[in-house]
Order: sequence, then C-alpha cells, then structure tokens
Amino acid sequence: METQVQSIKGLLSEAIKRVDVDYADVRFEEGDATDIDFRRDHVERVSTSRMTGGVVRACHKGGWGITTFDSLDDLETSIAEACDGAKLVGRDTTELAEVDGAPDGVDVVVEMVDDPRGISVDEKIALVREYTDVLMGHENIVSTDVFYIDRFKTVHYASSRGVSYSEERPGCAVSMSATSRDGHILQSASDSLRSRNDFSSLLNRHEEAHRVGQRASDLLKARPCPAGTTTVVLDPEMAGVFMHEAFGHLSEADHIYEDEKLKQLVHVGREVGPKMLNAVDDGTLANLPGTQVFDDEGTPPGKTYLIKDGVLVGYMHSLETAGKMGCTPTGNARAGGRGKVPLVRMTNTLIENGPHTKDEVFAGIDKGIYACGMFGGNTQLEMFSFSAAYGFLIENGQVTDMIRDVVLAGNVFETLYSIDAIGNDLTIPPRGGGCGKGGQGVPVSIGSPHIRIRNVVVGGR
Amino acid sequence: MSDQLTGSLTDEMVDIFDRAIDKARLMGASSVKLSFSRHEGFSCHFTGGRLKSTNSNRGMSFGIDAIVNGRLGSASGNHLRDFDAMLRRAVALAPHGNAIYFDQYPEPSDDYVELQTWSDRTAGLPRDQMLDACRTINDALQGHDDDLFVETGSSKSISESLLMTSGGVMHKSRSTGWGLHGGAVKTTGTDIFHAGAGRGWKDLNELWDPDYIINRTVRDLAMSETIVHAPQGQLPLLLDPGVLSMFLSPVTMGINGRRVAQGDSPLADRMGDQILAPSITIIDNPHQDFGTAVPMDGNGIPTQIHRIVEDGVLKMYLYDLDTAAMVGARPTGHNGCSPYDIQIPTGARSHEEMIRSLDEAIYVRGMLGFGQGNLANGDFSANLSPGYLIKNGEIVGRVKNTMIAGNLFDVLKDGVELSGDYDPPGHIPWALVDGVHVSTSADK
Repeated sequence: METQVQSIKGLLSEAIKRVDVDYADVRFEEGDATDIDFRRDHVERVSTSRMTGGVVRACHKGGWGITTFDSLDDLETSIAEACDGAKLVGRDTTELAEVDGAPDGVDVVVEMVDDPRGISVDEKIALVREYTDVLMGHENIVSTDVFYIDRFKTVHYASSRGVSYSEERPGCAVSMSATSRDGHILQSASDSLRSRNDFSSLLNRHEEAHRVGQRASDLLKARPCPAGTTTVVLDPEMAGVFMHEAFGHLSEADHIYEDEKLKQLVHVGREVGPKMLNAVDDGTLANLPGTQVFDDEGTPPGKTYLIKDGVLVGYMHSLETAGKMGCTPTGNARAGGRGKVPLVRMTNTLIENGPHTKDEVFAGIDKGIYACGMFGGNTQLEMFSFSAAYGFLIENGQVTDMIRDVVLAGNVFETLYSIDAIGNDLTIPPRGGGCGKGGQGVPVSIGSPHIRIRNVVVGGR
Repeated sequence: MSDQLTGSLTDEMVDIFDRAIDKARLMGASSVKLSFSRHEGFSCHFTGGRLKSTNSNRGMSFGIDAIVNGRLGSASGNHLRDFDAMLRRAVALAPHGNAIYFDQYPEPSDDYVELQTWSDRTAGLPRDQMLDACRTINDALQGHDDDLFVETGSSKSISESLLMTSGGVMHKSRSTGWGLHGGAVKTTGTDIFHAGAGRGWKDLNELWDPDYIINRTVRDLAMSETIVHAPQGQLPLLLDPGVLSMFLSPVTMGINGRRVAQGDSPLADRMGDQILAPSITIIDNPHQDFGTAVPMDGNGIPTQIHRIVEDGVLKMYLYDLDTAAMVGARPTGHNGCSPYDIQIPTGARSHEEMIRSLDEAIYVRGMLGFGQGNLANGDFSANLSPGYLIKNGEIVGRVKNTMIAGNLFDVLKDGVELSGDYDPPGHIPWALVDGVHVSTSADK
C-alpha cells in the first residue's frame, strides 16, 4: 500500500516531469513542532505548530522562475507560474551540472531512539524546570531562559530530471541561558543540547547547565577585554566559527560564479595561509547538525577541501554554480525551510589537525588573549567580525584572568596568513549552531583544534 | 499576481472563527484569540546586469491562543484543513501553559485610529515598471564603473488579515507594500567593498525613486575609493540614522515591561531618571499612514503615539495585556512589550554642516558584529562596515579593520548632538557622539 510520503513524492514527480522548460524542481515540506519556553520560575509559553509549504524552481535559457506556495492544491498553478517566469527571464543558456548518485525515489527514514513525539508535555516541562533550577542555583543569577523545541519535518523533492526523494529531518534541542546581575551590570551565558533522534540524550545534562550558570556568575567579575592588536589563541569552537565566518562564506560559489573580479581574487590555486592549514566542509559526518542525506537539489553531500596545505583548492557548489564553473556539485545547496530556495551553504566546516600540541600553541605568548566559546559571527565577504562567549588573558604563556566582551575583527586574507600555530586537538562541538544567509537560517557544525593568530584587531575599551 | 488577492478569505474566516470561539468554549476554554493572514507577492532580481529570476509567492497562516483555567496554550498552522485539529491542540496544551494574569480578552475600544494601509497604486504597480526601475539602476551603476558587480531587485505584495477575540474584537485589514533596492560590489586587490541602498513603503509615492538608490550608491563608492588609516583612541563619531537606531537598542530592549518585571532589564528601576542626553527624545509612533500603521495590538488594545524618553528622561515602560495585569499597570498596546517605530525629533544643523565642523572624527555608516555584544548591559564592540575618516571638515577616505567599543548608556548620556535632517522615510537623525574607543590594525 502506498504511504502518504510516497504519495506526495509521486504527486510532485508526476507534476514536475510535464514541464516545457529546460529544468524544474519542486520541494514540499511538512513539519510539526512543539516549543516550551521556561523563564526563571514559570512556563512563559507553550505552543505547537503544523506548517506545510513548498517552492517550485524553473530554469529556462539560464533564467529562473520561482513560485512559493503553502498547499499542494496550488501545485499545478505554481509550476505553471514558475515556468512562465523562467521563460520571461531566460535569454541565455541553462547550465546546470549533472549529479552522480542522485536519488531515484529514495525514502530516507530516521530511526528514532527516543521519539520526542511520544514524550508528554509534562515530562518536557519537567526537564526544562530541572535545568532552570541548576542555573538559578548559581550566585547572582537573576533570570534564566530554558527553551525546549522539537521538530519533525519531512522534505519531499522531485525534479524534471527524474530525481526524487523524501527525507525525514527530525530534531530536538534544549537551549539554556542565564543572566546575572550586580547593580546595573548584567552578564549572560548560554549553551544548548541537541539531538537528531533521541530525546533521552537531552536528559541528565546538569553538568552543562552548571557550567552555564557558573560562567554567567563569573562574567560579572570579569574585566572588559582590552582593545588593540594582539596575539590571540582561539579554542576549537571559536576557531571553527572563525573558519566558518572568515573563509567558509567566501568559498560559497554563489558569491563568486558571476562576479569576474571576485573570481580572480578567490581563485583555485591561490595561497591563502600557512602550509599547515587545511580546511574542509564535510557533509558526510554522521549525526551532526549540518548533515543531510541529500541537499535540497537532490545531491548527496560530500567532503570538500576548501584549503589544502595553505592553498585554496575548492568551492562549495549548487547545480548552477557547478554548471557555470565547470565543477562537480558538492551537495551544499541548502534551503532554510519551506518556501525557501536553496542557496550555497556550509554543512560541517572544520580546520583539520595541525602539527602542534595545545601547550605549544600557548607557548611563547608574552601577552595575548584566549578566546573561548561561540557567541556569534558576521561576515561581509573579506571582512569578518566574531565574538567569543568569554575569554582569558594570556600572560607569559599562561592563561590568567577571565575577560568578557571579546570581539575580533579583520580581513580574511591577512588573518589567515597570521595563523602561526595549529594544535592537534580537533574538537567538533556536537551542538553545532545556526548560520544565516539571504534571510535563511540552516543548522551547521563547526570544529577545529586550538589555533594561534598574530596581530588580530580586538575591540574593547 | 493580480491587483487584488485571489478572492478574499476574511469573510469566510470570520464565520470559521465565530464557530471556533464557540467550539473552544465547549472544550473548556474561557477566552480565545484567533488571527489569520494571507499574502501574495511578486519580486524580480537582477544580478551581474541581467534579469536573473522572478519570484511569485503566496501563503497564509493562522494563530490560536486558548485560555483554560487561567493558563494559555498556543497553536499555529498554515492550512485551513488543519484548523480544527490545531484548535483542539491549543486547548489541550493550555493546562500546561503559562499562567496568565488577565481574565478575558478585552472588549473592543472606541479609541482605534483609522490608518491607511492599502494603496491601489501599489496594488496596480505593473511588473514592467518594477523591471524598468531595476534596469535603470543597473545601467547607471554599470555606466559609472564597468568593473562593478551590480545587483538590483524590486518587490510588491498585497495581504489581508483578521483578528478576532472572544472579547468581541473583530478587526479586518488589508495592506500593500513595495520594495526597491540596488547595490554594487567593487573588488580591488583583496578589498571587497559593497555599497547599496533600498527603500520600501505601502503607497507608491515619491519614495519610489531609482535615482535615490543610484546617487547614494555612487556617493558611497566615491567616498570609499581611498583607504586611510584610522587614528586610535577616543574620537568623536558621526552616526548614520541606522547606526543611531542600533545604538539605542539597549533602551528599546530595556523598556520592555516584561523584562523589567522579570529583573533582566538594566532600566528596571530607572523610571524618571536621566538615562540619555537631554537632546534625545524618543517617540514610538504606530500611526503613520502607509508606514508603520497599527491601530491595535495583537490583543485588541488600541495603540497610541507615546513619548518613551523625553529630553533624555525615561518616561514609560511598554506593556502588553498580560504583563500589564502582572504588574498592575495599564496595557500600552505593545505586542511583546516592544516599540513599533521609533522616531527622534531633530536638532539644528544638517549632518553635512556637522561634518564640515569636525577636525577629526569617524563617520559610522554601518557596523559588522554589533549585535554580538552584551547589548542588554549596553556594552558593544563592532567592526566598522563601512566607516570613514573625517579630517578638517571633509571625508578623506574609508577606514578598514577598525573597531569601536564602549558602553552605549555612557556614550549616549552626555554631549549628543542630533542633526536637523532625516533620511526619509525614517524619522531618525544623524548623531554626533563622543567618548567611543577606536582600535585599529597597528600595521596599516
């Protein structure tokens, strides 16, 4: 008997194969979610949602027509509109790369270890209350926000090339933050737990909650980060964010493929850093937030070296950027939800192990900053800015006083060259993070060993 | 996309919502709030000088808030087929939800202001006019410098919405909107500079102006051509209106009545205090025809124009229905206790006169990473993107790898001069501030 998943996929496949344009695809998503927001001593909000939606992309003579819709009742109309749009736009040649190993009707089913949908709301509230109690137990904590979320999303995809698949993309997470206060001074710390298929993995994680509460409390006593140009050691999480922000976005081929000047600047073969530097985007790593079985154009994800031995060796691609640049699609076309068109996005981006021990990374630094944990990052192509959750001073090779408000900035080309030590302690924080681009957010992972960078501009007073 | 939504659903939704309120009551809900919205839109995007894509979109969504025994459950969806199931889910969730402090959603008010949100001119905006405007911007920028990588785009949308509560509020509205933007990337060596501008409004009026986008982009490109070294230390800053708005974010976050009540606002016990320079008055204005035009908040409470900060003195916190009941205050008509649209009365001199009067200062047009600081506390640290050096009354070039840092409450406390001009349609002036630490790469 045909399941609902097969039925939707079949409906999409049938509808999309009749198009009279060079290429078309359709992606339809169904998602159920539960959110619980617990603040200090009370439930702030409990909500549930069920959303469906899709997007049709048609390409004709190199031009795109795109239509978004909520209901499958609008499927045929949406396909027709997208095709009309593409014909209006197209004046050139359609160049979309072919994919080896594209799925032909595959249904990706995730085996749930402890399915959140079978857990009562009361149990979920009890969990966030437990972590809240841990956070509130720390000195000077005045407020907490522990947020539980679970999602169960199914993505259905079909293209006019006969590619089709359905993929379950479930997930559950707890994010916890604590705010401490001393007079008018407020400080906060946060962390999150995440699992693809196992609610029970979110249980008994009091140690993480303790660390968040303790850090929020400690940050009240921490000094503001001193400003200037200095030597910085990045911990694995911060170094991962650095690579993601500073170089990862620049290696997304949709920035490059139509801009000749930029293509000349960011060309394969360009030396961008020291010989010991290797960076990779790897969508094949199991159970990380950035991993999907297929990207949102039906391409299986791959392992793409961006930097090898200090030299730029590759880009991340969609079908179009690969087609236009004569490359192979890398499985990096990802959409940030229903109704969103896939953009070239990172998956799990890592700096690989280098030749130094962690102690060697710190050795010989008279005065510097140890930047730890991820708070956030932004990039505008060659310029970047990213902030640590907390940091420490380094004095005579030793980690000393805690500091706060650690924000680093610079130009990627200069900063990569300034890396002069890479540790051999590669760590990939399992919680990952979110990445925004073009108004879309997707889950990603980052990872790195400790790295040392000279002459980094650090903001502060 | 036509000039009207494909059939209006709001009348049908009124019937569905009427029945849903009765059903929810039968299921045990004492009070219910229902909302619905639907939109259609069209946009076009040019890249590298050619039309790259068109995008048609349509969608709808509904929200349900049900109160059972003083607790609230919420559900949402975007397919009417799911509406009854989601209503049941909201009612079933409510016993686990947050304890609310009000008894019932209020009755309709006599104080709703009538505001214009629908423009036939915008609804009828032809696709050809959108495409032509983009081509005009593209051709002008490419003509200015054929090394530029130019991107432009335009959009229009039409929408309808409905709010109904068991208190008797029933508000239907419809709205139009357009957007026009353009920009260019200039790559020189390892320097990649982006300049651009955009505007949007509900009515198709004089703000639809490709020349504004062209002139602003060309001016920014010209100002950016020369890269200069920024001095280090404490320098005066001239803030663009958008940057001043970001600088005020600790205030707009701190006046959130819920955060005040929960103890995580730095303004919690500052009512009546001088929190900003006397030159700064902050007005929240949700009553702008074709702009921010919101006659009531999400619970049916009428909105008003409020003076939140007057001559630098904190005058009010913002309360939604529940938070107001929690602290024993009157609701101020603010969804989520956040302001709608901040306006700041101007000073005397134009921003250009201010530039001419400065011996040495940094002109901050944008910031990278500003939101990553501890903004609730007022602490910030951001990379200028872009920033310019002013010397002897003139902009002499763009600064790079330059960070500014400080505490926003300190920076905005004294000696802030506001310009006498705005950048329409915004109502926020330029601002000249002092006491911000500038750090930069030592070897440049």
